[in-house]
Amino acid sequence: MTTPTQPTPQPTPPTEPASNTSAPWSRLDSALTGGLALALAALGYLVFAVRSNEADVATARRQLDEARASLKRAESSAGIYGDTSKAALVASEKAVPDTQPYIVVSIAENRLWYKLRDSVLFTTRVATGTGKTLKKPGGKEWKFETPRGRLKVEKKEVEPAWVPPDWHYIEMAKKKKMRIARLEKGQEIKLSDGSVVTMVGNDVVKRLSGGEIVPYAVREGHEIVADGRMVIPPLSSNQRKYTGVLGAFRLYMGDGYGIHGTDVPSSIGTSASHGCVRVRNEDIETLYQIVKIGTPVFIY
Amino acid sequence: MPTRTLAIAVGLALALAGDGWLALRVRSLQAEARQRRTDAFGTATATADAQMAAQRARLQGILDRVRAEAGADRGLHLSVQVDSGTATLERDGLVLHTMDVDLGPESLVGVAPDTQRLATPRGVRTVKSVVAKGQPFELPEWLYRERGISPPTNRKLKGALGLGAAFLEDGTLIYAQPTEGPLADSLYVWPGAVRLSADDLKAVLPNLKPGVKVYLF
Repeated sequence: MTTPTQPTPQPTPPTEPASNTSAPWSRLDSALTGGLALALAALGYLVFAVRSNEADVATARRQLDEARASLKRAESSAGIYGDTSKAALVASEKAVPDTQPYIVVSIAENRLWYKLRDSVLFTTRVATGTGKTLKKPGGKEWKFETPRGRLKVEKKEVEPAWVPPDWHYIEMAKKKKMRIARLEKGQEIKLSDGSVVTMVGNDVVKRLSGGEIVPYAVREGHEIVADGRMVIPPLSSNQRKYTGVLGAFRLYMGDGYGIHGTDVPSSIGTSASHGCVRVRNEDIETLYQIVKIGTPVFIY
Repeated sequence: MPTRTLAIAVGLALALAGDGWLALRVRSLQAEARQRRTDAFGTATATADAQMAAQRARLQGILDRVRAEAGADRGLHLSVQVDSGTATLERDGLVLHTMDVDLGPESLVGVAPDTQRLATPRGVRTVKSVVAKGQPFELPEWLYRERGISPPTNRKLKGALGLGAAFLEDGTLIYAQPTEGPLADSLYVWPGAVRLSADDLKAVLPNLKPGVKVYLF
C-alpha cells in the first residue's frame, strides 16, 4: 500500500517579491516628492519674481507717464513760444507801409533814392546843406543844413522862381563887404545923387531926380545896390524873384525846402546848398515826371 | 497606481504648470518693464529735445519780438541784426540805410575784483549820449591793458573815438575805427560794441540823438 504522497510543501515565496512590487511606487513617490519640492520652491521663487517684476513694471510705467507729461509740457511751451513769435512777425509785417514809393536822401552820401519798398526806382547824386552858419542881425544865426526827418512832396512846380530869403542878401553883403538896407513897401531909400529907390507896382525902381523911373534888373550875384548898401527888396516884389536858379522843376517839401535843379551843376555831389536838395536839371525833370504829390521824403 | 503617488504626481504637475505660467508671467513682465523703460528713455530724450526746442523757441520768440518791435516802430531807429552782422537805419517801417557792422567779442575786462563782462546785448536800448567828432574822450584803462599798451597818465584823448560815437544806456558803444589811439586797429573791436565803417558812421551818427531807440536782435 502506497501512501499517498504528501505534496511537497511549497516553500513560502520569499517576501522579496512583495517588496519588489511596492518598491517602484515608493521610488516614484520619492522622485515625485523631490520634484514636487523643487517645483514648489521654484513656484515660490517665481511668485517673488512676479511680484518684483510687477513692481518694476509699475515703476517703469510711472516713469513713462512722468516722461510723457514732461514731454507734453515741453511741447506745449514750445508751441506757445512758436505762436508768440509768429504773432510778433505778423505785427511786424503790418508795420510796413503800403506799396507807396518814397524818396530817401542821405546827407552824408549826398545821394537821393526813389524807392518802392526795397527796390530802387531811381537814384542820383545831390547837393545838400553846407552845415555852415550865418549870423542874423539880431544875434541869432541861420544854419544852412538840410533838415533830417520825414517830409513830403507838397507840390510840384514848373519853372519855379527862387524868392531869396533875407540870409541871401546878408550873405552877399558880407561877401561884398556892404551894409544892408531893407526896402519896405511904401517906403523909399534916398540916394546921394538925389534919386530914390522905391516900389512902383510890384517893381523896385530907381526914380531919378528928373522923375524918370528905371526898374531894377536883378539876378543872383547882381542884387540891388544903393549907395554901397545892399537892398533887400520886399517879398512881393518882382526883384525878389529869381528865375532859372532852381532849374525847370521843383518838388516843394514845405518850410522853404525843396528838391530842385541848379544853375551850378558842379556843386552836385557836395555839401553846397543852403538846405535844399539840389539835383542836376535832367534829374529833376525825371523826378518831376515820376514822383507824385504826397510822396514821403526821408532825409537822414 | 497608488493614490498617494497619483496625488503627488498631480501636485507636481500642478506645481510645474504653475511654474511655467509664472515663468511666462515673469518673462512678460520683464519684457513690459524693458519696453516701458525704453519708451521712458525715448520720451525723456524727446522731452529734453522739446525743452531745448522750447528754450530755442523762447529765445527766438524774444528776438522775433524785438525784431517785430523794431519793424513796428514808426520813429527813426537803428536795428542791429547781430547774427548777420548788419545794421539798418529805419523809419516808418522803411530801411533808409543798410550797413555791415563788426561786433565786439564777449570779454571779461578790468582787473579783479573790479571786472566787467562786456557782450553785445540783445533787446531794445536807447542812445544815452553822443561823443562828437574830435571830442576828447577818456578811454578806459582796461582797453590799454587789453591792447598790451601801458595806460598813459592822461587817457583823455582828442579823437580817441574818431568820427564820434554813441553810447547806449547800458554802455554799449557804437563807433567807427579811429585813425589814432588804441582803437585804431581794424582787427580789434571794443568788446560788446557795434563798429561801423567810417562812411556809415558819418551817415548814421547825426541821426542817433539821445533817446533814439536801438534794437539789437
